Amino acid sequence: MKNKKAISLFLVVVLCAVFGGLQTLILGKRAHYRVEEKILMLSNRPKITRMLSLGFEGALCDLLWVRAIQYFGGNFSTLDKPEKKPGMVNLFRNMVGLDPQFLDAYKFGGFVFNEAMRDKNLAMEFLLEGADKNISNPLAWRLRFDAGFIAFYQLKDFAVAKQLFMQTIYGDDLAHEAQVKAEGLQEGFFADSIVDGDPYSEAKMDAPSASISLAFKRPKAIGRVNLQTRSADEPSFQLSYSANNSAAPQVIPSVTTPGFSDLAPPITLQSMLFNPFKTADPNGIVSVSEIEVYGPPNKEVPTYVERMAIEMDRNAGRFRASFEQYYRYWDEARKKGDMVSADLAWQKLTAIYSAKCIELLEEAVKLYKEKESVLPSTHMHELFDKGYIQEVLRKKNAEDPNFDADVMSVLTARTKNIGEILTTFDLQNPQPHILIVTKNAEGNEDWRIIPRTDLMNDQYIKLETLQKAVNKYKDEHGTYPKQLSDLSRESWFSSSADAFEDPLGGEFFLDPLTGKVGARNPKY
Amino acid sequence: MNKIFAIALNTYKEAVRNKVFYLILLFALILLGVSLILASLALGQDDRIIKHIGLMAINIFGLMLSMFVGVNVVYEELDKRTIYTIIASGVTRTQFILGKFLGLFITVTTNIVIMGGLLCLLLWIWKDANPSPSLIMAIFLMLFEMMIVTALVVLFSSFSTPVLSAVLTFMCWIIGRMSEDLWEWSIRLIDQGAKGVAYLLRGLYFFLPNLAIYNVQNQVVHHEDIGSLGYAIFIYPLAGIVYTALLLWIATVSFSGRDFK
Amino acid sequence: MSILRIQNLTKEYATGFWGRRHRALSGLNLEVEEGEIFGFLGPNGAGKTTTIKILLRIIFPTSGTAWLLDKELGEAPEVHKIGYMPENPYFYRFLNGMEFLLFYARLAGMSREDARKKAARLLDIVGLKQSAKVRISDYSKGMVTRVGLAQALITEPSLLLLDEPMSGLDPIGRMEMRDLIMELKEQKKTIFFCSHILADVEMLCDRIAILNRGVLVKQGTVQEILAAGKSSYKISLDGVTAQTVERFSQFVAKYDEFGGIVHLTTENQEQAQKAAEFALSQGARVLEMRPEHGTLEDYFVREVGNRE
Repeated sequence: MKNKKAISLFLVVVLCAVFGGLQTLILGKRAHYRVEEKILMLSNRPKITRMLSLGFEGALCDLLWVRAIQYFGGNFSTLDKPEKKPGMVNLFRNMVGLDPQFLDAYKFGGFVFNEAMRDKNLAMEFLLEGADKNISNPLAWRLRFDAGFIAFYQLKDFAVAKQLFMQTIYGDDLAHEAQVKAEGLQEGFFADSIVDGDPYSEAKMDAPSASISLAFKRPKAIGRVNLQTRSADEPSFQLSYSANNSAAPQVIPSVTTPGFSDLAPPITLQSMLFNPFKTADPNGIVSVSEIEVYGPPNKEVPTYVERMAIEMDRNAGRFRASFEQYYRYWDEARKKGDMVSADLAWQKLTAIYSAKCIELLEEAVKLYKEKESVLPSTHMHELFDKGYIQEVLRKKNAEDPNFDADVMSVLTARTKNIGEILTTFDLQNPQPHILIVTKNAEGNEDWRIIPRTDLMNDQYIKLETLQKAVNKYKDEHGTYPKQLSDLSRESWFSSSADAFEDPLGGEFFLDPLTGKVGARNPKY
Repeated sequence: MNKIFAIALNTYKEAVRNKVFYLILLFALILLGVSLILASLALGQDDRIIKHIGLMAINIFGLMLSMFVGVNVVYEELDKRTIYTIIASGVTRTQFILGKFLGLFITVTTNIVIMGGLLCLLLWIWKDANPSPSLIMAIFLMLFEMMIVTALVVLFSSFSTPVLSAVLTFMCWIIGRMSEDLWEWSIRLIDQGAKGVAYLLRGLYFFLPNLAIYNVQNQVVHHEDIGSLGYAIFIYPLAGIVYTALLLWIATVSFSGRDFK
Repeated sequence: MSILRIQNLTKEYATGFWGRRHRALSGLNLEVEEGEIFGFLGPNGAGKTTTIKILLRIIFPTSGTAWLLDKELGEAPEVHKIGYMPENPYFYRFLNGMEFLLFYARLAGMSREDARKKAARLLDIVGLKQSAKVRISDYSKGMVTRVGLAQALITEPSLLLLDEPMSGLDPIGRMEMRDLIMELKEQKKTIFFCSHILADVEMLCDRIAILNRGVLVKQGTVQEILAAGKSSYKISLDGVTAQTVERFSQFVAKYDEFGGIVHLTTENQEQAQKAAEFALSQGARVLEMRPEHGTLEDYFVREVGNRE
């Protein structure tokens, strides 16, 4: 009896061991076909997946999400390979097919397609699809923004980027949906060009009889109006609206000049009328290039998005548009008393303006160097005197038909003197652009043009640092140092090679009696 | 009326004392637990996951309960002849069917309410979230889907064996869930000229219940205003009740005039 | 006044795949008087249970009709006056005895108070007081039969239809059941029951009916039936010689010998007389001489067996 039990027990143990061994063997052989790949074998038609999910789309979508995260984590360095990419894309497509309102799926998908798969176009397409499917969800702004960012940063398509950024905030331009009529049009110009989305097409009208009307099929909530003109001066107008087809027209007193105007709170209207126009143009011609009408801004969108949109203009070389916008920012902030924002805007303006000027100056310097074989002097007056700058401007005008309107109109708005235009922005506080010549690593001559204010900032910072060091020296030793170089003997003084060098090319000096640090004889 | 309630109560006791009931509840709890695990893997989507998987668990297990307990409900009475004494006591066949249905439906409702309560508790513990009205609405609408399934089970089990009843009910449930998609497919088929198949699909839509309308999972998760459902809140349950009444009527008709062996 | 009247009741089934027609009942005519115990006999498959099912509207007759308490089959029955106990009952396993009776009480429309009282009393009567809280799934077969009877009695009906009430009971149980039935009769209830146990039927029933293959074979009081059957005489003799035995065979139907005593069975009284005289003339002693009616079982086997 006992023997029988022992034998049967022994047999069981042997069977278990054999089974365990077989399982391990099988496991090894099948490592090849690991489940990982199989799970991604969803139908490649999301509609079918949805139908097969029998109403449990949400749960299935979540399972796919977890799967996607795991798969991404395990494979992110190889996702651009053709054996991995279609599966992952399919996974995302199914995910959003099951739940088109799953914003994070679009965001993550955009990220994966762009960064891991390096397929920017697919990423943009995916993000925009998500944005289109979630128009009613204000939190979905991020999708269009991400798409715009890809357009800006990687595709360098600034026009598209700007459009996407603006759409992020305001949605689509509603003016396309309106029926537009214009009165007082000059011959050869049409009302359609006002809402066609092309800022360079214009409709010239006689100011006294000019009027533009926009009519929508259904009343819409409007948050922002942008009237762009190509007139030489800034015309003014009156904007009135009707809440619906039977309501009486009412004037919007705050919108009278071209550019972006916010309507806060948003106004619901079915038709708009721009009339009358006033212009200082001697011929009485008003040239409207574009009218854009947007819904109320999406409150979820952070303020930096709009600034980025304007940056796109700058990046696209749309100098005038970005300049004007920042000018408007500065103006509004100043009026509101927000000096901090105003200062920031002013700095931006300066930077934009300066960058443009430097661009033109650099071309002139190159031309000069080519012809004269030497560099001009620090303050570059030779460029004006010998006509090189003028030549550059002429060339630019010939190449780019919009150069005059886009760039020169801004530069000449402040003063007609080309010399002054290209050297200073703030006429109250003029600081020229200067040419700095340096020696690079190989010992060759290298040059660059910078605003003098940059150097002044550097100098100011250095003087501050030295002044603090001198005061500290006084605290420790009781007297001021005899000369600045004494400071380098102090252990706490972090001296670098140029700590005592004046960026403006002058000389730092110390008055040992008063302990005041100063600079003199600037070169620049 | 009392007779119907007496039978309903009896059926309820039978179902609740059946071990299957507790087994199903246990599995549902396990699934809820699994949802927590998944939630922690999901990079911030835990809200969605718990709600989706939780609602799915409640739905599927309500379905399974209704099927596994329900298929025996009428069949056993016939098979084991316990129905003789009931008929002898003067219960009409209509009252019998209604009583059975009611008892089964109360069982399923109890189950769903318990699981729904657990889900709300889970959400409250995990996310410190109060049960949103949309969650309550989702569970409420789910009850009507279960009502229809229960009626199907009673109908089928009144004339076929448990296994066949289960299969038929399950098939009806699947087609019911897909019936809206089938309708859309039929539209495309008509465009393509396959009229015969298209009308067949449309027949299925009318003949079988449209169960997709009771599924408001997505609204729950995306915090859509349930008010956006509008009058649908009344129409959908009404449709469910009417369809249930039709099914029970068919069951009753199939029952009366029938000899019980 | 007949409490139960069956008129020309016929039931046909379609059986099997091809739907062959099978007659379960053919033109049954029956009347049961109020206050009597009526036995319904027949071999398996005779149609007894079918009859009861028709009476209770569990199945529907092909033709013919019946009246229970003056209500015809199509009308609404007086359910609380009718009690039914099925053969081989499978009651709900999960209820306990008390809940089970309460369920049927509620079905019959009794109030909760009433139901509880009656249920307790009935459980006591059928001897299940201890097992009131035990689940029916744990009952023995005898207990199930008893609770089935209790269920039939819950509404205090005037007419009881019992299908094999003795099935599954041990001898003591059967005795108790018999006593109960007698008691019910004393309470002026009418009892209509099917049974195979002919001894009990003989003991209990006022009138019986015998059914075979759906056809009513015989109906009447027990005495009538037995009297119509064959009767015989039994003589017990002592001291019979072998010779005499041979001579007996003329007029003796049966001859048995036990322990020196000879038992003779003759067909009628005349023969019996002759045999006794002859035996006496031969010097034997007559110990006993009496008439014997056949048992119901004999009759039954004879009548029903004949028709095979």
